[in-house]
Amino acid sequence: MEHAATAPEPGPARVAELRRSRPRSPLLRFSALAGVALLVWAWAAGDIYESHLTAEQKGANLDRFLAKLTPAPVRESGDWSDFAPWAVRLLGEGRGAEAVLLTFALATAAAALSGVFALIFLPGAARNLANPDPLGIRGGRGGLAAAGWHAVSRCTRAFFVFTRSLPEYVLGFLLISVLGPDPWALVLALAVHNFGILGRLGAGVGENTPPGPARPVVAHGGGRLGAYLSALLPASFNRMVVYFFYRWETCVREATVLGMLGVVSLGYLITDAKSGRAFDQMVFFVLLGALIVLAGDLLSALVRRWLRYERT
Amino acid sequence: MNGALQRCAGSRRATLLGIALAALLCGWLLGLDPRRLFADGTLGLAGEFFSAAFRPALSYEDPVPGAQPFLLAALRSLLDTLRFAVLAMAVAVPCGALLSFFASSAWWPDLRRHRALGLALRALHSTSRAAMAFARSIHELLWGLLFITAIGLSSEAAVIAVAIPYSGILAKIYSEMLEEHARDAQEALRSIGAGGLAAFAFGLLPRALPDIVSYTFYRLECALRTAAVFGFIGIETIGYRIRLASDEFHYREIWTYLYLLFALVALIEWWGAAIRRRLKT
Repeated sequence: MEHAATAPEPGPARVAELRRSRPRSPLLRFSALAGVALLVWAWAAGDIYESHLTAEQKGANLDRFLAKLTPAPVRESGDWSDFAPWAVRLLGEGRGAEAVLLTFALATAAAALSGVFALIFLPGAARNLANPDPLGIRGGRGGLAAAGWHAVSRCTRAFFVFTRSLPEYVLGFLLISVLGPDPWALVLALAVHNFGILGRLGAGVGENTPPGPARPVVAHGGGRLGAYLSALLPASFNRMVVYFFYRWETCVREATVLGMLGVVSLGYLITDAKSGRAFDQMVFFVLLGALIVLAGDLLSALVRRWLRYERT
Repeated sequence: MNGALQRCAGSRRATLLGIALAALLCGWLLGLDPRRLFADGTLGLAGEFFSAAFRPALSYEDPVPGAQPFLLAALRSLLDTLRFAVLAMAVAVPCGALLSFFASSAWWPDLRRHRALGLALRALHSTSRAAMAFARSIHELLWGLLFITAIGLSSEAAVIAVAIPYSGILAKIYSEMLEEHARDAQEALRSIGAGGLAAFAFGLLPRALPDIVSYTFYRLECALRTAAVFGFIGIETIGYRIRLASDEFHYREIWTYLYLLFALVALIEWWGAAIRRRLKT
């Protein structure tokens, strides 16, 4: 009751006092300033790539592109009923259907590969496991061992960030130059990048899982790996699978373009049509890619919803 | 209880088995043969490439007289990469925020009293959802390719090509984040007479802000990678230099570029995490 008695009088003085005592963070201020500075610099520092095209040339390019945009048979006959047979031919003889299948296959193989490796590496990154006192249970060893466990967790995390920082397309290009035009190059490129992301997300899940069932395993001498395999992993299984499908969806999106590097997937057909100046086919395959991405999104959203609501 | 546990374990096994079978089938479709990875020819070249990771270049492997020092040139292309990413995000974030605002129903006034307004808002809602889905379903590189074939290469076209799908993705995630947060504060504000917009701005938005900020940072990181990739279609970012170095088999230079990209990504990740911690408390 004493508290209520000392409650300050409302009024302008109180407002000013509240304003003075509002939480302030130098970091946030610095970040806002730095963000603005970054923006100004990015706008003001001139073109990154100097285009030598004049406005007329751009206009001419655009006219040529738009003129060739309607499907070739429709352009000749002026009848949109010619569209369907043309589309079917592109899917069949034009290898569109095959490319769709291979795009999905690429994404699935890569996502599965990255998932397996992320599961192997993530206990090393989860701070509650890679810790001298796993899950808060005294390990009883000091000094060097403690420093060692912290180093393990730091290094695994850094490794995840490093693999994550490598763009799939650049990795694909480099791996093709090493392995030759082999689907392995694209699968590995997708897998390496997603390994970093899944590993980090999985480590977060592992850290946020209630340690209740896992602690007795450690207390009875089951060790970190035992606790991870027998208690933490089953308890967080659904969330891990949700993340897997979330990454699978982005793999599908990325897989549509990886073919631009010259092997399988839709991207190859797109660049092929572009270099043949068949803009109608190019746009057709681009839209086919959009359909694939939407289908992947839909499928993954359905699975994720099912995992969230049916089985938790 | 026991039966429920067993069912749970059973469906876990089924899920894992399903994923494993699908992956094996896909591997077979693609013709992936593990033996090919360990063939003598590939091992040699791969060994050469990956051993270069331990000794990244600090100067050109084939110095050309009069060229800019290697590290300086690498740093400059890294800054150009950052600049391209910042420009793309500067367009994508406002567009994405606007789209997600229109795609969310959280700020709508009480529609029972405004029939016509309700219809208009619903139409806006579906249009922006469709625009979001279309924008993000085409990969940024394909947008870039379309722009290049339609008008020709320029940095504005490339920035817009990245900004289109990015605003779609940002809008999708922003609106999901707005949906996910508890509505109690918003409803409390409404119950004491605040309008839809005010309750949204002061009841819901502050709660979702930490998530929104950290996702935006993640997207900036993605924009950096995309900027690097756009080097492969001619914009002079770090990817352009990676490609040139690769054409001349200068693997050690490539690793320097990759490490620089990693440093920038790590810096941004660290910055975003620090901001998130401050916003949450």
